[in-house]
Formats: sequence, C-alpha cells, structure tokens
Amino acid sequence: MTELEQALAGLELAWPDTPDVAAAVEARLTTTPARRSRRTRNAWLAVAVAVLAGAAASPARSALLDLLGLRGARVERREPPPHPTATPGRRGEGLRLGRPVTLAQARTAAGFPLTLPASLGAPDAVWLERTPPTRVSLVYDRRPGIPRSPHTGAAVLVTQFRARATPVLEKALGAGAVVKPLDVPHARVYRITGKPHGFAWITPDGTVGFEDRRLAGTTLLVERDDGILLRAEGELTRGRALALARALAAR
Amino acid sequence: MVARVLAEDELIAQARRGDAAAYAGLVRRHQEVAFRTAMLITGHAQDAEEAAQDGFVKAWRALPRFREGEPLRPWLLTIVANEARNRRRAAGRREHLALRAAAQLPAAGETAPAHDRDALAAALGRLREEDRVVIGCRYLLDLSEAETAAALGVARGTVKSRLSRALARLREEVRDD
Repeated sequence: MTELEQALAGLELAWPDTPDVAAAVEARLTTTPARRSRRTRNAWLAVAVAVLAGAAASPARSALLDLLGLRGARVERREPPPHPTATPGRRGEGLRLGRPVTLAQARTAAGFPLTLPASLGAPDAVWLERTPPTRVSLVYDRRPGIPRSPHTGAAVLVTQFRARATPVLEKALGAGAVVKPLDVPHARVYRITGKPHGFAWITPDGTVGFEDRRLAGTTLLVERDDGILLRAEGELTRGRALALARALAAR
Repeated sequence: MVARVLAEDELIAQARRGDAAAYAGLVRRHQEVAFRTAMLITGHAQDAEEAAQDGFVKAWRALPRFREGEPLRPWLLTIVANEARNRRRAAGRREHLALRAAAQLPAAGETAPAHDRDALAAALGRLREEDRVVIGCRYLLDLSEAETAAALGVARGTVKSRLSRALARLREEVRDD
C-alpha cells in the first residue's frame, strides 16, 4: 500500500448525517403494495380516465374520493398512465392544454387574474381549457439557462386554475415521486421530482380531477392563499425553482 | 418472548413475502453506505437522500427478482447508485464536492497532521466524479471490489484499472495543491 493509499484508508470524512431512509421507505411502502393486482390498477385507471374525460359524474367521483382517502378509504400510490408528449408545431401542441388563444382572450376567460412571472418575459403561446375548471397554460419556449424539457418541448410550462391540491397531494402521486415543500410566503409550494407522477386537485365546487400529464420532469406546485393553483414544469434547478415559486406565489 | 436480531437472509425472506417492516430493517442496515455512495456520486446531501430513498423503494419492487443466497449489499448499491447517477445527470451539475476531514484526535504514532487530511479530502472532492467514486468506495466506504463495481455500474475487472488511474490523478491533485 502506498503512502497515499494509507492516508486515504485512514481518512475520516465529515459526512452529512445519514437521514432515516428506512422510516421514509417504510412509510412509502405501506401505501405502495409490492404486488398490485391488475384488477385494482385497472379500476383505478378507469376512475382517473373517467374524471379526465370530463365524466366526473358522482359514482366516479365518489370512487375517486374513496381512493384518495377523503372518505377514510385506503389510499394507494399509483403509476400514472402514459402521458402525452409534445408534437411539432405551436409550442404546447399535443399536450392536451385546450385551445390556443391570445393572452387577452385567456385573461377574459380565466375568471381570475393571471400570474405572469416577470423573469420569464412574455409567454410564447397561451392555451385555454374551457372544460371546467377553466385552465390557462402559458408556454415559454426558450429561456436562457433553462433547457427545453423533453416532456413539454418548452423551457417552462405554467398552468393555473382555481383549485387546491394539499389535502390529496401526497396521496395521489405516482410511486417514485419525491415531494419537497419549499418555504415561500402566502402559498404552499411543493417541488416534485422523480419518476412520472400525477396529483389530484379539488375545485371550490368539489370537482375532483387528476393531473397525470407528462409530469416526468421537475414540477412546481404552488397552492396560493387566494385559491389559485399553479403548476410549473421545466428542468429547473433548485435555485431557479425557488425563484419561480416566489414569483408565482406573489399576486 | 426472546428478542433476537434476525439474520439478513431471514429479513430478506420476510420482505419477499411482503413484510414492509422486515424490509425497513434491511434498509436500516444498509442506508448509511447507500447514502454515502449516493453522496459521492451526486455531491449533494438532498439528492443523495432522494436517490437512496427512491433506490430502496425500487429495490423493494424488484425483490422478487433478487436471487436468494446472493449478497444483498452490492445489489442494493447498484440500484441506489443508478438512481444517484440519474439525478446528477438530470440536474446537469458538475460541481466539485466539498469534502472535509472529520475532526479527530491523532491516533498514537500518527504523523499526518490535520491540515494534510483536510488537503487530501479537498483534493478528493476536486476529482471528477468517476475518480472520486472509485476512490471513495474503496478507501472511504471500505467497499469490496465487487461492491465498488456494483456502485460504479462496471465489470469487476474494470475497478482495478480505474482505481489506479484515479489514484494517479489524486496524487497530482494533492501535489498541485
């Protein structure tokens, strides 16, 4: 053994404290059965698809509520179904964001003041989903320092609508997603990373939906005190994510 | 009732039958080495924690494919290290890892002063990831060649040559310091 190797072998590093991974893993496993039956999964998918298709009739909705644990039912994390991908053409095309509109049209139709983060400049495309809850999506094509996301084909995609996500957030994420709360005033902000994931939301009138669209990169979920839920997707570093979260949280 | 510490293969057998508590016991045994390996790869404590957590959850799902009788640690390290590499790639970071030597009392007969240890730790942190991980696994985490190969995602035969190249670069780094 050389002197260098001896020095290395005797080197004690100041490692960060090892987190309690076992407890976190066990908590995730108790809501993620190792072997989920195909029947259960299919039933769950059927519910999510029914809701997404706008057929949020009460039986489907109550089944979803049950699955989300809002009626005390057992909650399962699930793998979201394959998500749509961007297609060539207008930015945001193929992502099922509704119809392309002008910013002025979106402002009129939204029914709430839109939030446009100044740091991103003017959006390159604006989409409007009129099927309730009305959702507005802003597509930012290229922005310095932010790579185009393979999932959206754009640098950043911001969707906003009137809903909240907190009561069901942790419960409806896909297995393998990692949720970290960010400390931002006037809002509850979560940074979601990891495997493709989805989340559920509830509108003020009680409509429950499940978002499972292309959520495979980094997603910021900003639930503002004024009842607006904003979702930003993009390959954002932690620092940029925090800055954007602050901008989205400020009205 | 007599409490006893279950052997690893007993815990594996229970975990394979779906016992999450038994699996948590396995995770607890290996979480430190897994977290530190992920630390060497990602250079970030939070990324390392997330990689370890996701890796262990994936390993749980893959348990039916784990061959009984094989050592568990290299198998787990393969999965966690892979998660860590994915995270580092996704983050697109190529930062130096700020490594510090732990404060320690000099052992009897030890000649290396504290500042040498700090310099060595810092030099190690400046190495590129591939070099840092192979040296870290072998000397800091005391992993076997097979375990190091698992953490690196390479064949066992590759570890020796990588290690000798990495040591040569570390030697230069220490000299240039």
